[in-house]
Amino acid sequence: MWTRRDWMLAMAVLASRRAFAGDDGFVIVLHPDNPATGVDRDFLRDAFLKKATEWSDGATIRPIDLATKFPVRDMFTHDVLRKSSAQLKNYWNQQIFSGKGIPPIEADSVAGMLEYIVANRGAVGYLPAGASPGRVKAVKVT
Amino acid sequence: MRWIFTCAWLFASVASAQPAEPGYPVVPVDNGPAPEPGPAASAAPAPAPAPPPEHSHLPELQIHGFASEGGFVSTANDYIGTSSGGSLHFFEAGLNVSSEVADRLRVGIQIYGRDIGRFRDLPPRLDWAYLDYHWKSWLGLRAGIIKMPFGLYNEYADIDASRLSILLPQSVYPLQDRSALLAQTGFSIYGDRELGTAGALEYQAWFGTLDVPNNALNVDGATLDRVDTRYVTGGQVFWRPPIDGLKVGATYLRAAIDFHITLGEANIAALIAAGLEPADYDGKLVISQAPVNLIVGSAEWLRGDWTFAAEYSRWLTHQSSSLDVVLPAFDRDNERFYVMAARRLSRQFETGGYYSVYEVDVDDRAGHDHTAFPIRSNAFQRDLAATLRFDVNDHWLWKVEAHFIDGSADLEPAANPLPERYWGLFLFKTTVTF
Repeated sequence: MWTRRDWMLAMAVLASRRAFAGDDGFVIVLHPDNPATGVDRDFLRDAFLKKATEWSDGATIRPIDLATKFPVRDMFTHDVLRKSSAQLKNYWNQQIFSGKGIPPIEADSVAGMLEYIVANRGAVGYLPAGASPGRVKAVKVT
Repeated sequence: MRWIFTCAWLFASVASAQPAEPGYPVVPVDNGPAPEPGPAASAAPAPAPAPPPEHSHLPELQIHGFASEGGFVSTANDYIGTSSGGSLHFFEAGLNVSSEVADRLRVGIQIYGRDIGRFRDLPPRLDWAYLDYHWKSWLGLRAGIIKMPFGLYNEYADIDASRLSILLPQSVYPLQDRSALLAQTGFSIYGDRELGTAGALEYQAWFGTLDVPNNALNVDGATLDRVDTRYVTGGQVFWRPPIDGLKVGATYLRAAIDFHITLGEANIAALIAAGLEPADYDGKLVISQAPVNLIVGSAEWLRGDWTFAAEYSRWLTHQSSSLDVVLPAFDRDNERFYVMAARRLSRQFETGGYYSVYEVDVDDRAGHDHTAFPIRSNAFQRDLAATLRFDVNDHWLWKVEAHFIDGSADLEPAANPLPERYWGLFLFKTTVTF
């Protein structure tokens, strides 16, 4: 039987998840010193497609993807990059073999992503909604 | 000592590579087993590891490559080789290395080889090699041997894994011009600019020379000694309107090229006998294509599992020669266009097709001028193509493709003295990418 305290705690958790994740199913995570309080969706797309190079304070953007085994990656690719997984693969094949760019590095675990973000001032990544951001900063997609 | 260190670093980089999606380096983290994948996966609270210092390590080296083999057969005519008898000369491979050596500064190099019908680049040659400084999103600089933007796909013409079709629409991306048009040696600037509610702009501009190999042009009864490109320059702009997946744009390319040729003994003797050249004529000839103006308007729309593309291009060439009595100057205005659609059916299957048209003379699309087109079908080539792609996994794919063609404009005249107007071409290909 849930107590009133349990219900209030559950509501608070749900509210905090919505605050960061909206309806996206993922949260955006940044280095704790990054002053951004939210990230524009188009800016985020350009960052992960390596079209944008720096944050508003001049720090170099260092995007990091989760490995393809994480379903949240498909969600992020579709919602933010606005590409299907096949289209994104084509995009990076084009960039790699024409010499125009290399894809973001890829974390094989959520812990790996968090560690990279903590270690890199300009890092930006994403976590499944509900994952604890630990020592990194979670922000909204605006 | 330095080379030993470099070799050790190269070896260590390759040895430590982990299998992943093509092109996606993995962050090596020793944090025990990864959590179960899924949206509900929760991150273990960071056990306060000492964070690795930013950029304290050697630059990461990325190594990628591809290799393709296939075959083709035509119902008539010899296209890109002896297709009428069937051919397995359909091999190409590339290997590249790139690294971000400093903040926003990348260097990379790729070697490429092919044996595709009569087009042969073996041993492999340098395909691209340059440094790229991406200072701001709106301004980057590249210097070196750089893939040349032209239309939607010229920079990616070799990258079989990045598209559906085996042959790109040959009207706008002819295989026989690949060596001449794929890369330039010089500089380029590029950028990307957000326009707020109006979308965004992507742009590139470049200036340099072309490195055209001597086997890029077949000259009957003569030898191509060398190709001098005086310059090649151009610009490209794409507008991404606020409609997901849509981009429209245009490319302009201008070049001046001299072909230095030595005629064969028989042709020299004939010219001297006809009194067109003095008795001591050494057979040297220069054919100049200056200027060459190429323009193309492009549109691409990625909509869900669909890809739509269309391009319209005009290639305007003024040609003159040092033997004006034999090869008088002329101007040519090609018209080239296509429409294309592709649909990803599942993670493994994709299908689609295109209709591609090449008109040699925009003022005589049907080839009525018998002086210019003794064989009428040499004035045009209309190609209806369909492709099926099967991805075995992320690194290996197969394709089959059929072309139904009306016209013979893109055929090599020497190999097809009496071409068939209606013919078919069938190809298959398998590609491995890593």
